[in-house]
Amino acid sequence: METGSGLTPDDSWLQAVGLSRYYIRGPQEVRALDGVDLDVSRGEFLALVGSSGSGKSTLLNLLAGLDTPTAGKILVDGEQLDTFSRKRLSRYRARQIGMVFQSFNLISHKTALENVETALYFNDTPKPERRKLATDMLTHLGLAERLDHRPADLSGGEQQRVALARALVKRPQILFADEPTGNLDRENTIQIAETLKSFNRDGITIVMVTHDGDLAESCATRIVRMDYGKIVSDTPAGAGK
Amino acid sequence: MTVADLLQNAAGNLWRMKLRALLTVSGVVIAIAAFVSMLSFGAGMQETISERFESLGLFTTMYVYPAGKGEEKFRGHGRRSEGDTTSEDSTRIDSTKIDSLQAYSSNADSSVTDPAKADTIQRPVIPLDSVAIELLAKIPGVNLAYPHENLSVKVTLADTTFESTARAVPVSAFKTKMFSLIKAGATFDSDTARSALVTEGFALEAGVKLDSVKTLIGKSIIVSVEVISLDSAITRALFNRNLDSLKSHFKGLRFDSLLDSEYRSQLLSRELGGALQRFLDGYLNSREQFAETLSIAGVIDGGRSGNLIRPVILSVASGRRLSDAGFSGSRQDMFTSLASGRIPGMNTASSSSEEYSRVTLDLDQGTPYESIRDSVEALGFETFSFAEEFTEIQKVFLFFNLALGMIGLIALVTAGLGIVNTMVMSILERRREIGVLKSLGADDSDIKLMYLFESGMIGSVGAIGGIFVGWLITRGASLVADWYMSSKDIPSMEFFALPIWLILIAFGIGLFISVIAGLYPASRAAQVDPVQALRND
Ligand SMILES: Nc1ncnc2c1ncn2[C@@H]1O[C@H](COP(=O)(O)OP(=O)(O)O)[C@@H](O)[C@H]1O
Ligand SMILES: [Mg+2]
Repeated sequence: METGSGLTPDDSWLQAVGLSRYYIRGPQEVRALDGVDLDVSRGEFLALVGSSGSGKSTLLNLLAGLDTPTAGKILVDGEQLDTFSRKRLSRYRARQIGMVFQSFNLISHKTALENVETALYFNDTPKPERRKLATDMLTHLGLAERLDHRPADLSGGEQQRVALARALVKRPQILFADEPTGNLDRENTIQIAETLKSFNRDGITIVMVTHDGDLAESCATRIVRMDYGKIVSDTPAGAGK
Repeated sequence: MTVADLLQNAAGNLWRMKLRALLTVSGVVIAIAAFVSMLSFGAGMQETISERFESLGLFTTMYVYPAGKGEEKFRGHGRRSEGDTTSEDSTRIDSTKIDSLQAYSSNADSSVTDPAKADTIQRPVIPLDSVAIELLAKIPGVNLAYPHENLSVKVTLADTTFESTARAVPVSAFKTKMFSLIKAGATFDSDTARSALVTEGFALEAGVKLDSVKTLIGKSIIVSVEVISLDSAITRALFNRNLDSLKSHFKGLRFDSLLDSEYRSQLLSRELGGALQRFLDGYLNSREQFAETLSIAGVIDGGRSGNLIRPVILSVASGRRLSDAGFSGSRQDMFTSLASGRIPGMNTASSSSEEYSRVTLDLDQGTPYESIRDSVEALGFETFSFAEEFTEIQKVFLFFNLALGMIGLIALVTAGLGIVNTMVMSILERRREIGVLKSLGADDSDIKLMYLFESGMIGSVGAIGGIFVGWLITRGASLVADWYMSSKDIPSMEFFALPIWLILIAFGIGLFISVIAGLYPASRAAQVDPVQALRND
């Protein structure tokens, strides 16, 4: 995993400038995100914390190119993401980023292996290679025995590791994780945290939303706190000190 | 995503929802099966007719009629040549006899044409006689020209007697395709032979099974015409121009004034109509017979349907003897001839040579029929060409096929709506999955293609199944038809055909309808907002 190696942590790579996302709900405007400025450097492990409804997921979806901002801009490697065409945005998602969610979002009728392979459909990986890369990644995450299991036959921890394998199998430059341990017990949370840390050490930039202060403190190099769609604090964390 | 990925994905999704997919596919199968079996019927009829035309050499056969007679002689299909105006009297009789469409056109003709001007465009009536046959035979592309006269006769074979028709054919015509299909025996080789050819239709009428027509060879038949005795003398006096033969044949004729052609002409044009008909009806009752005893030389194909080949083929000599014997007993023939306006007795330009009501031309394969037709019509005759007729038949079949196809298409539209329903449902169920795929980098067109392939697969599988089921239906129907026809001793005939174009069209339409049906669901799928689809709450 060469991505990002040799670059200093403060090498600004992903940048949000005055980023806003408003929703219209009935007669009133909901400012889910309200003028956020944020720089993410290569190799960083950034934890986004804040109360429910503070706009963390909204920010993450914008940075992942899954949503488009109402105002402000997003720069990725100097290119302005918010001006990308839908096609180009999907290329960005297919090749440069990985995503994991609180509710795993595995495709229920596909096996663990097929779920992971699906991530390689959209970045032109040749078919024979897909199977090998997916098997290797699942094996790496300790799921060699679970390749042909469907999500329903896997534990929560296993499902989230399959989801992680799916996000990481295409070797993204950045991983967006939205409360990845939100549905997991302590033991599985620690396991996922260790996995994330090891991938971060290998050079993958991580932006993780969490409610869990301890988790943020133990994994992240930097903690950004949000409230009412704004950043209220931005501090170096345990792992980064 | 590659096409292989898309196909695999579609197959996987359909397999997962087996029951739903099966039900949707069944709709397409039924629609395509209906479409295929209906069009297969049209295609089969067309092929059978075309083969029949081909085997009888009809594509290289043309009939020639005297001007103004073409329409009635061949069931109204003949070409009517331009400026075809006969005398006012006969035009009037014409319109009472022919069907309404032609009546319309002939009425239109006379309304456009001022009676005073009619004379200027009136064409001299050219006799279709042996001189004309020589001229016709010289037209480039005409291999053979021979008269084509049908006689209503009675035929006696052993102890059965039945009504039939006979035709005298010169032996040179036996070389043409129309007489090439000999089922048993051989053709005779002299124009004076006391032999006859009979058709399969004749055999059936005589109560001989088709597989034992051989037994007819060498048998004697008596071919007879009924001659109207006393009244026939009048009839003949009125209608036969050959005065010498008339005199010799009907010595007992006492109405001397009828021998004056001027008088006959006036009498007829004044009396044609109800009065004459009543007159003839009352007198045409006592008859006498004139018979030829001939031996059956061969049995030829045909004669079962239509009037392409007459059930009894005679030598030229036999034919002449029979037709000279007198007016044929059929009143129908006589009135047809009267109505045509070409009653021999009325002809002012008298000629001693015999006139024919129809001449058959055997054409060269390579010469387009249009050029021959134009040459014949330039001589002042009318034509009927099977090749031309076939293009008309093909037009009819095109409409027939379109009509049948429309019924199939209605079923297909229903099947298409079934596909839309299935696809919309599965998209609602797979909203989150679509969100996941988009978060993994699927682009709108990937999603669209995934669903189009899925509905396209429903359509193709349904089309393949439907073509197969349609084929089974036609085989079944064909078996039933065969069984029925053989029970009626009708030689089997194929009603259905499944040509490659029909298979391709059926498959193409199945695929097309299903892809069209998939368009709306697919674009809905592509529009799914991944952020909404992936939300936890
Ligand atoms: N589609 C939407 N329509 C209206 N309001 C929305 C929509 N999505 C999110 N919101 C609102 O935006 C705010 C931020 O939401 P979110 O980013 O999901 O918060 P968090 O992830 O921090 O809990 C919330 O008040 C939420 O209700
Ligand atoms: Mg959230």
